[in-house]
Amino acid sequence: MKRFPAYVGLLSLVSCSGVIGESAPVSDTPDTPSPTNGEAGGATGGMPSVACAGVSPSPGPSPLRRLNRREYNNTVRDLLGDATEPANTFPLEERVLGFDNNADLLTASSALIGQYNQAAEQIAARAVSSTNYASLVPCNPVTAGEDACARSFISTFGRRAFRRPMTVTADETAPYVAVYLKGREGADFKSGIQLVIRAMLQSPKFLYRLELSPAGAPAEVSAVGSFELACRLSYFLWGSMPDEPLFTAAESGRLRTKEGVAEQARRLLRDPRARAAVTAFHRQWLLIDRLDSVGKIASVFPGYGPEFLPLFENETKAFLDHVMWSGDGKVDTLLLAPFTFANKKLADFYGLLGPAGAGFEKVAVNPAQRAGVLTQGGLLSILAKSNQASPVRRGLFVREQMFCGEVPPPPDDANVVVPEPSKTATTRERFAQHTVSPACGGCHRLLDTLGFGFENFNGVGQWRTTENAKTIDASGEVVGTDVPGPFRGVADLAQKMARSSEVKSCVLSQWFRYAHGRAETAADGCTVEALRRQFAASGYDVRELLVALTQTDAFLYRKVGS
Amino acid sequence: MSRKGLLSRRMVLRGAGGLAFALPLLDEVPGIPRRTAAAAGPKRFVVFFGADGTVRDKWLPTGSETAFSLSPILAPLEPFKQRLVVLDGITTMGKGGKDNHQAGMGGMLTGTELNSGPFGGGSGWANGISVDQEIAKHIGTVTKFRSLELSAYVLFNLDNNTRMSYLGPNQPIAPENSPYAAFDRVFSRVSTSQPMIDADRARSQSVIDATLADLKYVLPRLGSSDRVKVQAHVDAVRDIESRLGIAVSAGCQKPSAGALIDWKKMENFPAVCRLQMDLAAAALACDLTRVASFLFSRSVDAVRYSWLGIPEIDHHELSHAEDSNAVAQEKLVRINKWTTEQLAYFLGRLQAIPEGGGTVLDNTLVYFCNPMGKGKNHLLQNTPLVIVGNGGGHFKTGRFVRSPANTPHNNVLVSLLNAMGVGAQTFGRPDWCTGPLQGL
Repeated sequence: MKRFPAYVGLLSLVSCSGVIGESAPVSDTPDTPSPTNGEAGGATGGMPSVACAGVSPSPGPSPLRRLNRREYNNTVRDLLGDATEPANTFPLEERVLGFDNNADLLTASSALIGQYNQAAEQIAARAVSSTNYASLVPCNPVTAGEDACARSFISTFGRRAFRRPMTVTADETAPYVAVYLKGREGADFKSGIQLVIRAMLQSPKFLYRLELSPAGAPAEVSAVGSFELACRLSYFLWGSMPDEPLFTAAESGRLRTKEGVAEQARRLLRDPRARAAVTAFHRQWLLIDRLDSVGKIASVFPGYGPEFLPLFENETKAFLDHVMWSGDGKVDTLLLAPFTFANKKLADFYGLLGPAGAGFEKVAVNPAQRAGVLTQGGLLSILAKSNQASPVRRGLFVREQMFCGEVPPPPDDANVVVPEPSKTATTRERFAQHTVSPACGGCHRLLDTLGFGFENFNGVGQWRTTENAKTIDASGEVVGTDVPGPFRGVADLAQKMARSSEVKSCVLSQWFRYAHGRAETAADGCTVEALRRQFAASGYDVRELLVALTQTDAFLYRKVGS
Repeated sequence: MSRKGLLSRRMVLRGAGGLAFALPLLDEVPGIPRRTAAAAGPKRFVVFFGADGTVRDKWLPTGSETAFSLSPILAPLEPFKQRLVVLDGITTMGKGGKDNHQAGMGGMLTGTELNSGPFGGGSGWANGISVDQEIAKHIGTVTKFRSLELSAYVLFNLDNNTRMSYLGPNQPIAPENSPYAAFDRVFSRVSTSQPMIDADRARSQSVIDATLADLKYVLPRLGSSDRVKVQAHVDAVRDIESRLGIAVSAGCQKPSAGALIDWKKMENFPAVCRLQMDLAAAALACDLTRVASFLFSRSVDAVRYSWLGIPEIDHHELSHAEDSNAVAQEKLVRINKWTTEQLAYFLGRLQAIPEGGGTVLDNTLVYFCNPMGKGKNHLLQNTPLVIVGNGGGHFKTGRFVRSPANTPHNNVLVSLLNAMGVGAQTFGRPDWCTGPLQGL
């Protein structure tokens, strides 16, 4: 019944010191937990170092991918000019490793199929009554003849809806001619077209990113076909269907070379649609899509109100947009930037100087206090409780999202009660129990020692130097990584992270998982190796990583007939 | 028949703040034939979920099997006491995952272990069909929808803690969290004229024909694991196709959804719960489906019950409080009692809809379940379970049934199947089941 590839072994599973529940040394010896892949530095994100030059392509698995809600919305928008985001009410995707586009989990259910039908009906009705209608139908049914015009529509619209030409030999168009005739029956031409659109939007050829093989084909590795590759490019970089230039590139064979693919990747990255796709990645990787669930006790955070949530969201989006599209795109800048984006209200809230109005502007921060994404209000609000900061959540975020480590859960019988807020102690003092307690210390040492470095920030991202009249201690320690040692404050931690090849590797892994809708596997060894080299050569420019991701075995090849 | 006249005869079920779906009274619309099924009323099955265990000493009834008093947490069910079977001594059977949240959730309705997969602890989906879907296989074939799965705050961290219904091994069913989407889907074909219904059916059939033709084209051109995925798609389309010819009761009016609320906001959780319950009540009453389940939150419930005066901490975290922490325990009781109140609300809805000589509630079996007994240490023992309804005389109700300690909950699932007319002797993992629960 096993259906999933074994992912877990690929993560650097940091083992807690000793067996939970046993007395574990806390700080005397450097009982540094090591990543289970056993490779010092773990810079390949779990991949063993392999000799890759001249080896025949090894693409790893490429499971069938169904459009998720975001991709469905974008595709309908680009196909029909329908920007109503009809998929927003479809059942939500399960998350694997943080992402909503995991191929294995995007399966079909009755409810989903029912909603596809419902949505397709409404989209088709809008399509034939919109101003866009004339551009969809390539002929005049009066002069060309209704049936001929309908057939023409089926093949031209079908090519875009199914993202490849319909093959004549298998007569893929026949079912849609029948649909047209049924829709036309007792009504008009337009009704026929409407029903064709409704049907095509429910076809597996629309709903899945199909990469078909001839029936009964022997198992082998083969280059991804041009139209399939066009879809790999557009869904990775846009979260949507190919545009006409990309279709043309596929048709003219220009995607048969790596250079041709890279050229299209760079073109796609210049389009606003790429911004949206990159934003969707960041919202998931940096947990920003959880802002919706944030609720704070007003009395604990004077001056804070839920109206700050959209400001936090804007801040992080504006910052990432700037770094990615106006700045240098580098991981170092994401981690270390001595600036953020804020309007007057948010700047006042943080105690920053600069903006005068409601619009967001680039604002300098004190680099000794704040650094890059780690100190922005949205993330810090998410990594906190409703009534206090949480060193545990902060540490877990750094450990899991930035170092790609996995921390074992507390045992079923652990006392996992969060210390109650207090009027006399600091957060650190209250959470110190974790790292002192032998039962908890083994794991919490991996989390809290990172999280304590954030102590200068309260649960909504404001700087503080005291808590309950006690001076904040923001000293921490990084254990179990390639940048071990003590640090003081987030800015210092960020410097360490910027020096860590594990963090760079983790960024690479996150993008790989998002791009491919799956985790890395052993078969991706050479792909990851090549990516790591190119990422390093670019000075860890994420934009170059995105292009590099289109140049790998995993992207350009697939296993057929398996 | 004037529209005014029809409207005036509608029974409007009001929910909090006027958010409820207005529900028509099915059997009293003049000029429209009664549903044939209305004479006796079809048997229906509903699953009602509670999260993260309970506070045992505030949940457990006191007294004897037939003369017992409901506990503070179950007190909201007092009006339905003679319809209840309260169960004690049952252990949720489950295995896998990083902790018993996942194990209990996977086993709760399937009676199986979790397979391996990409979620916490290397776990995946449960290894069998869930009891609601097994029942739907038998009683869900003649209705417009096989079953309804509805949620109210299942929006984040979607993993095997957020799925309880399964079509089969590794086939979880995602609940619909938007009451509006569910409403549109379920009631879209209601209240249209017969010629329109016929034309619509012909068009729908031609769309399905094209879809199935494409699926047939695609299937042999896929690798084997992808074929499994697309086969599930085929099955779902065929399921819908098989229901195209099913007429919706002419007496069933499309309810109205009331003022739009943001169903993704945590503070709207109570309102979304009510909308989903009203929707399900209407769908059951209209015989659009006979099986429904409510997964309002999730195992590891992230909801902060601010409307109960508990805005500072979410339910799951609270469930880990020490037994000695009286303040926290009282809050947990409040949350658990609130959940029971929701069930009472739903039962009240069903009871308000006449059917045959009684009400829809008379023909409905509700299973109020939980993945675990106690949140603090993830205990699967003494899971709080309540059955509402006698399954057409199958159960003797108005009882508090104590089973021997560690009786596997698979036995309860078998009894539910039996009560719904499914003649099973075992369910889920055979080694976790010794037959129907004794003493029912």
